[in-house]
Amino acid sequence: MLINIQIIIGLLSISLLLFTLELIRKKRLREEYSILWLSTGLATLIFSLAPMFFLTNFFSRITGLYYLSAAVLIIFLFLLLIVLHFSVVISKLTDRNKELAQRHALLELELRELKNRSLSSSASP
Amino acid sequence: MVVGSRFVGESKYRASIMRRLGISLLSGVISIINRQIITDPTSGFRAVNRRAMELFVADYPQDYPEPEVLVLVGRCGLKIEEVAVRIDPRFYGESSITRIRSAYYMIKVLLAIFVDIFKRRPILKEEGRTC
Repeated sequence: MLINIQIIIGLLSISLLLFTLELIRKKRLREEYSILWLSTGLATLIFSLAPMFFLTNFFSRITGLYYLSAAVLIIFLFLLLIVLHFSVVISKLTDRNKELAQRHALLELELRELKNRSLSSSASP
Repeated sequence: MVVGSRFVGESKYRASIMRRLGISLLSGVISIINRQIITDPTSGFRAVNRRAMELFVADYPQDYPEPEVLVLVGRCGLKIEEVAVRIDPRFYGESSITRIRSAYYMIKVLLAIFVDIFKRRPILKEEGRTC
């Protein structure tokens, strides 16, 4: 039973690692964010190689994790945190973007007024 | 590309142990990839000609670009030369690279260099060909 899950999780984490590296190679992902995903992939790969270590040994005595389903819950919560983190990043970027557009519009207006003024002042005398 | 190196010739520059360790690790990795000894991979004191500048227009890494650029320039077959420069120790202000950032610096730069090996050569925009 466990070996099937091990193989599935192992394959998934290897493909996550390869996919992340491919995204960096194509410049669609910044190294900054890739580190998070690479470490996630590595952690799940290690877990798939030796799940009994995490489920039965000292690790579970500390955390109280005796079942695979509990580990899955932890991973789910972790992913939830990542998604929340990205929502915060997106919100910040949206705010900055808006501010940038507004400043740009103001500068454009000022520039146009300056140009008009210099045109009219050079034409009148 | 000409790089002003702090470690060529006689130099009074003395960095901290951690900094020197990081620099020598990067210099080892880049020297192997480029098949040329690079003594100061983190130096940003550089001069380039038009050909290199056109390459940088097409492709320039972000976030601590200096070591990665050496690999990029080497892969495009451009020449890299290091000359001795005298750099005095910092007498004002703090380095932007703190202790936590330096760990991120090393991981990020080594990862980027590793991925760069598998990257296709960038396409120069003006000439529409690979470098």
